[in-house]
Amino acid sequence: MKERKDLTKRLQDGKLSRRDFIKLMLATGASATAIGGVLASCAPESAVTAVAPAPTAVPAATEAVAAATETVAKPLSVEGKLTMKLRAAFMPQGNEILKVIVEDWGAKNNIPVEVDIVSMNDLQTIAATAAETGAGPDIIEINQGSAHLFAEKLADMSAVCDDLAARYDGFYTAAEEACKVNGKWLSVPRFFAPHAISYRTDLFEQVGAKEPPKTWEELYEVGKALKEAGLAPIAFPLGHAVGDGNDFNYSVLWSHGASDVAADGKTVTIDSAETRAALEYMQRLFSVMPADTLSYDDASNNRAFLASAISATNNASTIWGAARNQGTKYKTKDADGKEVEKNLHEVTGHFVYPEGPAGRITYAEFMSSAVFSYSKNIDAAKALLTYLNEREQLTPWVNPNLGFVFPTLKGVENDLLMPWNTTAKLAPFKEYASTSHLPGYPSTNFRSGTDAYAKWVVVDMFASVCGGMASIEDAIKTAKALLEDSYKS
Amino acid sequence: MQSSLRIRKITKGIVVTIGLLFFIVILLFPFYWMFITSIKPDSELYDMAQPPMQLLKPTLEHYVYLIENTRFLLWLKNSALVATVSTAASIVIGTLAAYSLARLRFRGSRTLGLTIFITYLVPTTLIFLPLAYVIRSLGLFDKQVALMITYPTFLIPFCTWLLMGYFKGIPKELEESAMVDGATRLQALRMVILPIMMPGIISAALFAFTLSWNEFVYALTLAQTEAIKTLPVAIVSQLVLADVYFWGSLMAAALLGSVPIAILYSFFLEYYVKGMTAGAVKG
Amino acid sequence: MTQTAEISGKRQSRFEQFSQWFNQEKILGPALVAPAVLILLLLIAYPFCVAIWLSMTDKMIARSDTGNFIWFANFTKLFKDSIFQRTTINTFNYALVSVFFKLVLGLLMALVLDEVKIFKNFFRGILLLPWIVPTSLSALGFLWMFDSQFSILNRFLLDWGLIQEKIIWLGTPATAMFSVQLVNIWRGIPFFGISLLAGLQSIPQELYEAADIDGASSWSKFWNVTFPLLMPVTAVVTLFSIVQTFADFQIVYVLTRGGPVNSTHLFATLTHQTAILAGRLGEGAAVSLFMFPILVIAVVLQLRYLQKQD
Repeated sequence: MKERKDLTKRLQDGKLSRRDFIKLMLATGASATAIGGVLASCAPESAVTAVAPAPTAVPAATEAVAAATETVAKPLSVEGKLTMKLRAAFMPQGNEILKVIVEDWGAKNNIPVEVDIVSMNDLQTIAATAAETGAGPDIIEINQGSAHLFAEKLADMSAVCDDLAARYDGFYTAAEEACKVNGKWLSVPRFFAPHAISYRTDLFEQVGAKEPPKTWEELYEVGKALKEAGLAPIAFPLGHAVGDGNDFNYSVLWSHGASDVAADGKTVTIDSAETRAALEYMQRLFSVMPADTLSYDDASNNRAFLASAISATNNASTIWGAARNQGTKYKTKDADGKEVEKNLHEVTGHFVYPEGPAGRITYAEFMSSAVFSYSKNIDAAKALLTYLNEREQLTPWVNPNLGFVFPTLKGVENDLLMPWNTTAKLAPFKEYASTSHLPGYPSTNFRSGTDAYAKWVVVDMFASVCGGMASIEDAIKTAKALLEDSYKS
Repeated sequence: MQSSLRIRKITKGIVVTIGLLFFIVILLFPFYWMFITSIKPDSELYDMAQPPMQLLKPTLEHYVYLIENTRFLLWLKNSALVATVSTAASIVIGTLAAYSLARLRFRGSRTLGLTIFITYLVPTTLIFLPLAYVIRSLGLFDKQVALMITYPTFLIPFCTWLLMGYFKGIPKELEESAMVDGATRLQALRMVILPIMMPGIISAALFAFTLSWNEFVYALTLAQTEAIKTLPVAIVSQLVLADVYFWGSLMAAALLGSVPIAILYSFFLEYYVKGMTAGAVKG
Repeated sequence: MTQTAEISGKRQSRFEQFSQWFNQEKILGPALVAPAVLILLLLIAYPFCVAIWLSMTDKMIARSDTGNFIWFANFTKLFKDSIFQRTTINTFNYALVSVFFKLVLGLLMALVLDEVKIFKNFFRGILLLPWIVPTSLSALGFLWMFDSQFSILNRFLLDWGLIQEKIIWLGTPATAMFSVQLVNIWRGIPFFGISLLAGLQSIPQELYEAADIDGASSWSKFWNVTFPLLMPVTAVVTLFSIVQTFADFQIVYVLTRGGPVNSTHLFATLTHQTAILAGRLGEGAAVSLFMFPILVIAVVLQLRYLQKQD
């Protein structure tokens, strides 16, 4: 037991090797499902709900055994190996655990599996090659609305998704938007990379914001106060940042009641009073932001925040996670005015995206697992994808990812062992999935929405206005021309 | 007169030293910075108060992480293998083609030479998808062989063209006299011409090796299994996790993936320079 | 016994016949080029033709149908496309400025290295490093050096008082283009430097001695001897560099992804965005094909120049 404690501690600290993890699994009874319990019992933050690991782990384990026997009943076979390419999460341990869960399944079903975890940008090129040439891995994680791009070459996953949807409370809307094409599930929803605003609680308090801002206007006010006080400013990405840039700019656009397309999926509606309002707002917001936000990629805001150079930005939970893992410090003055170093993660909080005139509408950063129809192992892939998305396997994988991944099945997020339930600070991430949509919203033409997204039309519209490269009218005109091209097809 | 000559010599020495320092600084500073980054603990990396060149607690942890937690050495080996095989193949094929185009008279040789060169202009981003389709039809998808046969597509035009220059620089009489002694053309090529060509071949090989070492797009699409990936693709995939970059290990990988090659090259450089001379000038 | 000898004699002569036949220039010539031609036909010419055909269709990625043949509609559409117009200007700017500085600095490097007498191979070896390190990794190194918060370049410039406030390297159109060019130049200098050094060393020493006797100044020696004799190799190296730079992908892809607001998009990165990310294969191929005639013209001009030199 002491060894187990020690191992889990190292797992949480990010110092656990793969070998250690397997040892840990054996120590806890050889089932990956039990790990979640162990992990949660050692959660570093005070748990919101007191969790007794044992009772939770036991039923989970039995269920898993039941599931395993079921699969054994109808043996699966594969040609060669079942190969899969998955998107790398920011926690190396999270990736390792996912590998172990998959390999565990392979061992139980006597199926050789090969898991490769790659960075997201490369995944998209691999998926495109697979779609065009009919060669590649059996399972590929694709992002956003890619299922609409690859539709004709994807295997029908309706059986898997309908089964999962029936066993839980269905999928989130955004998952359906991304994966359901003409009534068929062509990709199995995998996870959201949920966003919230990461912010410095201490600095916000210094300018009188005891409660985090609820509306975009309030956010601007805080930003202005921070700037006037000479404190670290707020900063949101306006560069070609695949995740963060799209997430922020689409969310601002939509929550102002604007959109790039009408519900019919054809009429471009960017030329509207709402868009102008959104652009004017962003211009004001930019005036209290550092100008280098125009160059932000997905990693820049993380670095700036970790260096105490900015006080708020939109991101997944990776800033807080990295600050905690690396023991990042920030400098402050104690009661005697002496400079001291304190742990940054303690003053890093999160709040949900503010509301605009149209309420809170957010952009979904989303991944799904696609199986191309060239695959010779479609049945095995289906079985694995079902297995991976069952609560028993989701929890031990989601937990150590510290909020970076969020389930696509409704209700699963309420599991006691989910990070936002064990760690109060991560609670805002729980809100994200229910307000999220894919580019192409509010229509269902996600094929064209993805086209516009790939061309950065929305991000560039905001960036060109903020950077003084175009007037509001010119930016709208440029965006309109590009969008009309996108929504023509 | 004597002293003015000396002054000129000294001035020249100073100018050359300044020039050398200039190039060392601008070309190698990024490496110095990569090195500093690779031995800095993460806590110092993000500390803006600390002067960036200062190093409080140097660490090898990024190197250890690279070796222990990734398959760095395997990828290094893959890269070396792919680059060596495709370089060797391209040199052999390129030498034969270059000899033929530079030396033998047959109809259409000029056009053929030009056409081979034009293929060098076809951009990778244009053809990588159709090429992937061909590779799949050949049953080579996701195998290292796929890289070994696609890299020559940009190496052969390059080598052929470079080596043609060298052949033109070697007097015809040499092989003709060998042929008078009863050797066939190919024998003459092997026994007489190739030894003289060695420097040129080495120089073409170094260029070709470097081009292969660097290649990214084909490597990403055609060799996907983790165990067969080449270094540039695998490193980026493994050390850029979502929006967190493992700067220390990334920079360590950049250094370990280039410094040994540079040392290796310096041994060949004597030939390299001579080789370039014969080919390029007469080309 | 005699029979066997006869047969082997016949075989011998048949082999000799073959070898004589094979030794003819009109046979041997094509035979030796054949392997190169076969590989290039299969792996370049065929995919290239597919790409040309693609560029004249409205083929989308992953569609089973082959797309409609639309002649040059993709090209005419691109002419009117604001992103493409911007990209064309960017690519020319990127390639011409980069190649120019690579050439000038590379020549300078060659002249300096030519005079370095001690540890010369050591210096030559280490100065090749920027060219050897895989671009995907060195570009990341520069991403770190251009980071708006941590930029070491900014730290130096600020410390030396050359700038008053941080330069946002990758955040404004002008500085972002400058930054990607800087990386390209940095990477290309050694290639020019070492190649031109080779050219320099091939110039016969006697020419300089003769010039010395005529009492020529250093400048006039450079202008009248070095420069003209260096031209052929310079043309060749420049040619290779133009081809590489026009088709460059990695640096922009890693540093800016074409941002801010498409101000650094190049043909290759726009192709990737259009064909792979947006799935418009036909249009993507058309973007990439724009590069081809430009390169062909550059090549033809330079080959003509080289032939004149012959």
